[in-house]
Amino acid sequence: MNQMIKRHFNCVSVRVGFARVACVSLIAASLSCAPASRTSGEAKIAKSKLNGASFAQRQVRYMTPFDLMETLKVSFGEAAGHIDQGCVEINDDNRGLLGDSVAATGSPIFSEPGSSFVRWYFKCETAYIAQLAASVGANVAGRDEMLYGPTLLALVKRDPLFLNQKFSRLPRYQRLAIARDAIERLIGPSEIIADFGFFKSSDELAQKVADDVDPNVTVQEAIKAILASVAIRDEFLSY
Amino acid sequence: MNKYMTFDRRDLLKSAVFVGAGLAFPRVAFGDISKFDPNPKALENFFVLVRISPEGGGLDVTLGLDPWVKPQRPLETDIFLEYKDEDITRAGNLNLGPAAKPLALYANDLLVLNGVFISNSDNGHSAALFYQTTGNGQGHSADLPVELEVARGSSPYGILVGSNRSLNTGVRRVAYVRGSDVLSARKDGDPTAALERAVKDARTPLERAIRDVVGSKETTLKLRQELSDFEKAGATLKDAHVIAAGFLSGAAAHAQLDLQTQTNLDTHSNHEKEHLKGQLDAWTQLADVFSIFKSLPYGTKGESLFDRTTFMVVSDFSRTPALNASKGKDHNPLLTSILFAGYGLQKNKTINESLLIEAARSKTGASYHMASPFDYATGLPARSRQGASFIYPENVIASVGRAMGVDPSKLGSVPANTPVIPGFAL
Repeated sequence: MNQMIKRHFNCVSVRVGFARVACVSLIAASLSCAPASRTSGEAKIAKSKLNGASFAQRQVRYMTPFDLMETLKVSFGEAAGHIDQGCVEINDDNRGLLGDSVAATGSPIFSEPGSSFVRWYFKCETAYIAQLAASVGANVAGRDEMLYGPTLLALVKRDPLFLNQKFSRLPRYQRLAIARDAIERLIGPSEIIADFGFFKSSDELAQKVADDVDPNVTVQEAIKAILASVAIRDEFLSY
Repeated sequence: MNKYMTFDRRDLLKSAVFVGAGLAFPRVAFGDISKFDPNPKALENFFVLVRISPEGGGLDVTLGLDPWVKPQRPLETDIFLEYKDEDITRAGNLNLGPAAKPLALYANDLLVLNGVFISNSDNGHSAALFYQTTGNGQGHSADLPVELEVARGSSPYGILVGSNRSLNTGVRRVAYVRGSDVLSARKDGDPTAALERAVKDARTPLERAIRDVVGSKETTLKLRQELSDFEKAGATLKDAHVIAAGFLSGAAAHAQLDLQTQTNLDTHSNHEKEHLKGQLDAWTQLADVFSIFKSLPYGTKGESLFDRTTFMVVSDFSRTPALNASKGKDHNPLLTSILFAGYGLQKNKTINESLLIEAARSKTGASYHMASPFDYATGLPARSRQGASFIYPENVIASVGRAMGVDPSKLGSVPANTPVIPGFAL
């Protein structure tokens, strides 16, 4: 399922792979349900998804290397200098493990994500999230929203020390709301979550994500863990 | 020209068969990673492929592994030698030029392979290095550590790769990780804890991959402990430390390490002293790597990690013998020397030699320095045309495979029945 569709179009397609791709193609071609505000980065992703491919196109179709790089930037902000270039651009080091096709054979070396991919991806998403968290402040417009989401942001605005308390001490409805905000921003609304078939709704996934957070961490650490947890899911990394 | 440096119609057909087989039997063609076990029985011996200045180098072998030792000095117009006979270190069966002096300490553990023939024409740095690291000049083969990983079994981290350059994986599916990523990941805490919480199922390829990473948690902790131990001992962590820690922890068994010299080794001009300086730097760095591995006990038999590790050290090619108009030396793919050390090899030994064809004997009117033909029956430089062949990179790769206990026919990058070099492996 196309990330653009997931995030912005609320376009619930049938769950047969070909039909889903067809839906994406038609929509992207006509832009019939394009959102009003669309960043250039998002537009690039949408375009490349029609042409690119990564890993083997099996039941789960994972993002192309290019889309993955762009998605990280769109989701967590443009990388600053201290993020490894290997997390920012496709190079000889990451090309293979990201599932890029080999020119000589026309096929990717890895037919599916492997442990190299996971190690690489976890390192990069952690770096992006750490950068996002470090850059949050009054002068960085939009970053607070990107990191915290509406529920947590409202709580932080009311009480700046809110971030320092233990996540496990928040009322359950707040923990779930914080997780749901992250899920809906990074993946999409309930219909999209249900479409992947792992969870019936964003609420159900939010329960798992919130419950998986280490109970001993602060809210500040918890939100980073939640973002990392959501961004390493199949729903985030596949179309 | 070496037949493996060309791609003719027959090669195309062979490739088509291979690709066809890959489509029909992907596990046979590409190796089966579905059987990946995050905690396999750890291998007891290791391999490091060391590339010297892979960004573009090419060592003048006369300054290092293959110095001029004949009593009669040649004309400077035939071969430029900037050292005297007394500058050569003679250590048993090895002769080490002034640049390779730092290796003298390890002479009893070394095997020098001189007179390796790459090509009769200059195809550039990358092609020559690629041919040596794969044993195949066709451009889509895997580096030897990759082939060994496939043939000997995978490790939790796969192949440890130096921080600067990539690994040629060809069509092989193997896991690999850069040394710098191992080091930087330490700052992020234990990734397995976070991943363990994130995904508990293994329904999709991604979830299975996460499970594999989580499954190697103990190895990760051991690897980090080894790195911490280095730091406690005062070391500034480099790729060599990561590789050593990877081997000791069971995270990896095969690695590729690049040594970058401060001075440019590609001395097309101003060769004198400059190249010596760069090459001395390279061998000094290598001696430091050996020192690290020697200092680490391995097992209970009094061995060091060095004793359990096979090192193969390559550079692009040698350099033309005489100085050019810019006082430099150009690419010489007619010859290179490869250094080996450690496990599974005959020690303090030099195999084969190089030949200088003086300008007076040369059909081109210019001197050239080339690999000696080699007699695979005797293991000595060939003295007649009968039985004479060259030592090509594929012979080297097959021989290393044999030394590592791998049937050379299992190495996908070299043709079946490639002769191995006699007197090479133990």
